[in-house]
Amino acid sequence: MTSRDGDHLKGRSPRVKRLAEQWAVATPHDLTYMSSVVDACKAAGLVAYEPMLRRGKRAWRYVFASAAFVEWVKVDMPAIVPEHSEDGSPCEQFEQEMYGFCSGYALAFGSDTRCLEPIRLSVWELKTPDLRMFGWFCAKNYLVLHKGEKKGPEGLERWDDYKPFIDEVVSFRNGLVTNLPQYVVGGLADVVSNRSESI
Amino acid sequence: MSFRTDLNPYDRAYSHFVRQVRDAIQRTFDEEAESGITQKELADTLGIDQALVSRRLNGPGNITLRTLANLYTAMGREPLSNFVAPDHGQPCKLMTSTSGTVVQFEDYSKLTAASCATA
Repeated sequence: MTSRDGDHLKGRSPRVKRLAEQWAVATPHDLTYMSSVVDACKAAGLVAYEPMLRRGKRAWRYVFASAAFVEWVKVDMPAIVPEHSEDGSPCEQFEQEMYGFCSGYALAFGSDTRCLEPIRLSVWELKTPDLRMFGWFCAKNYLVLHKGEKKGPEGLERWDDYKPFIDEVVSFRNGLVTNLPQYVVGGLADVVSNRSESI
Repeated sequence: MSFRTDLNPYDRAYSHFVRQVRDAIQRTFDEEAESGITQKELADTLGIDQALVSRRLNGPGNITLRTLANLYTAMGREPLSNFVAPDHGQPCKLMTSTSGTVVQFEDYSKLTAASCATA
């Protein structure tokens, strides 16, 4: 359990709790925990996503990516033609998803994200109208992305359809040299918390 | 080492704006749901399928201004009141009735086509 779960705010007034959440005030425990996760991710060769949040706002959640995913974002993703132009370009869709994720907005299970079967492998999918991104949570609120794909018009229905993506993520994850726990197991509430105030 | 998308400031701001609007809609519905409103009631009010309401409330992607206005109106809310001026150089922030800083000035749900036409 991290201080993000509210332990460090026990006994404080509702106003202090609200302010701490709204401004994501970092406690020394927070910073130590963040530092250890970030250092472990960097040591494993993962690249941090840099969210462009409002000035003075600290990210609520963090995204790291494999070199392969960064390459996909830079090269393959911009070339994807969206099914419906009103949904914006793939880059805009990606930015929307990352902005909401890092800001700590509530995620809709099934629409924004979902844990893929079999759940024991803890591979998660993030979705936009035209993109699918696969990865796992190396710690609560810390997502690692490894695989990106264009979402086809027919969708993926069966476990077999997802298996290649799951296998790729698990294979990459197993090959990482890191002192982090491999992945967080559980449902949406186990892998992310939400910032309670709108920003 | 870090990475981010190669978007110009306007496209980036647009992307953030769309996501903020989606979050505002979700939060507004969550507030109304505490008072008992359901997706089915919203669907009935708007004359559309409940699955469509669910997709509009939770689904990713863009949302038209008409859809936004319809959802807020069906929830008896003001769709959008103001864009707050930058504070100390910070980007503008979309203010909605969910923030608690906006006065809800009229019950749109009581408006009818006839009263609109008369007005």
